[in-house]
Amino acid sequence: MSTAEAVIAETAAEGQARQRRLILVLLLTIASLLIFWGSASAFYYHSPTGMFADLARWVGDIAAALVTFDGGFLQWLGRIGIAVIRVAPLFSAIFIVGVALRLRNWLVREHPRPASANPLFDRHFRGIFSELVIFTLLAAFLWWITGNTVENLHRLKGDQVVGFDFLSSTAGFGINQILFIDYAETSSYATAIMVGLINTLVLSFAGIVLATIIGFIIGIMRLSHNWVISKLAAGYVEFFRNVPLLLQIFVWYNAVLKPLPRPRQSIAVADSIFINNRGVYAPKPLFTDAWWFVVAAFIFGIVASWFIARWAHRRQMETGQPFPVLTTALALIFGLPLLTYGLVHLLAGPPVHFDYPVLRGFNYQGGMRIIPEFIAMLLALSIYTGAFIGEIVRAGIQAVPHGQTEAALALGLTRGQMLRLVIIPQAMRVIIPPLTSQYLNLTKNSSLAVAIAYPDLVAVGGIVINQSGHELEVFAIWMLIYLSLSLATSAFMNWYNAKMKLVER
Amino acid sequence: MKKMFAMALGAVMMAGAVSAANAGTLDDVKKKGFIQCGVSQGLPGFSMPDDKGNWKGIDVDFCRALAAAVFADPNKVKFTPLSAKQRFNALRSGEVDVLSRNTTWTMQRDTEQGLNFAGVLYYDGQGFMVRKSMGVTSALQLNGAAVCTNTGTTTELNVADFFRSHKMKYEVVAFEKADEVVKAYDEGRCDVYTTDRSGLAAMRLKMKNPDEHVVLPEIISKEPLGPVVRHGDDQWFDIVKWTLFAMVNAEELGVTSKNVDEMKKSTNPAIKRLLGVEGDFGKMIGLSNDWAYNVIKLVGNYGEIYDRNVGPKTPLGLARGLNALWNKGGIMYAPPIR
Repeated sequence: MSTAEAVIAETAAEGQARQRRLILVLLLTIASLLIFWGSASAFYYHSPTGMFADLARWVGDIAAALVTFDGGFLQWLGRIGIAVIRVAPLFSAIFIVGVALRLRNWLVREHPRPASANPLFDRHFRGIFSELVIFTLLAAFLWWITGNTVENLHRLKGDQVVGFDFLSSTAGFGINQILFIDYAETSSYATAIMVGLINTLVLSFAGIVLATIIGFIIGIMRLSHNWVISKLAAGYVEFFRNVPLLLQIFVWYNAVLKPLPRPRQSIAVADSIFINNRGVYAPKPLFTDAWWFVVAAFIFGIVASWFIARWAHRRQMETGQPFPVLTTALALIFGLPLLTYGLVHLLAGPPVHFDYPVLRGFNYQGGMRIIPEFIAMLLALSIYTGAFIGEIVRAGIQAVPHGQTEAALALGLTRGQMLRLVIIPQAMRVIIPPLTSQYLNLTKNSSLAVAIAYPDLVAVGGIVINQSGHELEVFAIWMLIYLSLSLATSAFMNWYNAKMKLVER
Repeated sequence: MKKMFAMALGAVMMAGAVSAANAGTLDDVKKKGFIQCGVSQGLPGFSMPDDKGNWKGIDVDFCRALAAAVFADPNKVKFTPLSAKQRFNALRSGEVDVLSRNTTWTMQRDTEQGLNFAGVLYYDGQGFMVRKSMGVTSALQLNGAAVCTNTGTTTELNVADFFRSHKMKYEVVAFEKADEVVKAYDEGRCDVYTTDRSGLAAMRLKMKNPDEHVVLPEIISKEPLGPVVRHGDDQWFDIVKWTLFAMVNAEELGVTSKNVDEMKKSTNPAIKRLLGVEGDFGKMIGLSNDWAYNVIKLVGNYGEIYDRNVGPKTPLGLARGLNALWNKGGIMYAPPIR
């Protein structure tokens, strides 16, 4: 029935009932807004007009934060964050009005004929009505908890309540793994948190790569027809995924620390790599300007391989003649730089020098160093996650019907071609989505590093909380960073998934 | 319809009522019948459970003294073990009523962190411990050393200051739990273990072979350790502060747990005021007038709890030193009760 017909068919009694319902909606909306307003004023602003004064100030704050890009990226982000969070509850008022409008529209257009004169017995009306009530209560609750927090912070800390300005104060503490950026005790809290973030990223990245390798090996081992190999893989999976990760971290940390000697009795490999209970020390390469020729050759190799692969693919499509792409690419990517290296060495002397670690005083100085905490974390995370990935890989391969194998072989593909062109692409479709969650898990699990003194984001943030007393702010930074890391990882994996998915025509 | 509106309003008001609580710690404590006291996760001599699970130590005894002052019963106290990292948050959020956990009084904690220090229970300083076999005799020889320490402490900052001001390199390995620091040091992850000197003496007892280690002579910081309360409750702050002062004053006046009943008959007006025979000093802080009598009778004076827990006759064997009374060569001094 169209709207026009409905309106025409309306009786006088129905019209009255409709009128009553609309008046009720109006009253409800006003009541909801009053509760919302009242709770906001009572719990948060302490005056009925405070909301508007604050709103004006927040807009000013956001503008100021955008204009004065002064202290550090985190601080700047934090200021905008605070302003947005403060304005956010106001959106709930808009939402209340929105629900009310929707209710009105719906009553007038789609449901003009009341099922009953009493709106409370009208199923649809009740549904939307309860939505309004629940939302109003939720808004009041939000005002209450934020108001409560602000109030308590005020009482404890006085006027300088919450804010990210502390991030520019001097950190004052040391960190034992600093990568890519400069950090000293005189640096700011913001820099310290960046150091922690980089440590988390490095650990997660290395963990993801290693866990994927372990997982694929284990997954394929489990499908082996060799009884010993498949049972070995099954045992690995059952053991490592059923023992709590934190326990594994402690075990690995002790397993790494205990058997290793003191620095003065280090295990030396070829007199350049030293292993002791302070970590692994290796020579650090120092590059001369001539080194860039080698890098250029490497990049050229990659680009050239890509073009060759494209050309070979096209030629094979047209003429059916295959081309040895893999060997050519390997030769270009690795052979060419090696050749350049040799040439540079002959013409301009060695393009790379090494800074060897030397035992001085308590420990080795110079060179590159991997701290034992990193090794323990990497082992624990990748072995634990590897067990899960192993199962995912097994499931993915088993999900490809056997008929595909038979068909591929019947077409005359070699076993390698069959795997590469038929089985793996189909298995990947099943593997990628759960693999994404494992990558996310690994990243988040890396926060357990705090247990063994690996200075990751959580460990460093914890120190900052304790030394500065700004826990809400650091918690906000933690959540924001982990959220962005997870979203970035899943965005990448979604892109990869879309690429790998069967193209349906 | 009206009913629903009223219900909604009621729910909102109830929510509002809850937020008003949390101001009068003394009332809260009396209502629940015990004091919730934040202590360490196991530091011999300061706060550590014995083999029967009873908490022992000078920090613990202070909590018992508070319970004696409030309830006339030193056992009406419950202990929450806290790591260095958790402690301030636990206090600020109201999880504990008082923090008695070898905590250093600093300006930043006293102000920005929203805390109040009620005085000094133990004057300490930070020191270094190394293995005897290293042959190190001074902290100035520690260039390039790996240092194990606790996160979230003043120790962590002092060690950074010390090495930087002496232009020495170091590697800090910072754990959250004190036990993990000792374990890592004991297993050779670090060359140096650093914390307050009382802590060195205490944690040494937990090492595999305590005699293998030596404490270096340098004291690199001032660490006045004392009980802490949160901002915003002056009455509770006063109670904690004056309980500590009463214990120190009692030692100075020669009042001990053994002679406190005889001392009640003393003619010395200072003792009379302390023990509530004269004046209304208990009422001034919201307690009964025999509050200090209960503290001394049931727990002891400052000297007694020192000797019992960390003094020369205990395994820690710490001499009074700075912690002796001001008139006996130390700096322990309490304002008068009057």
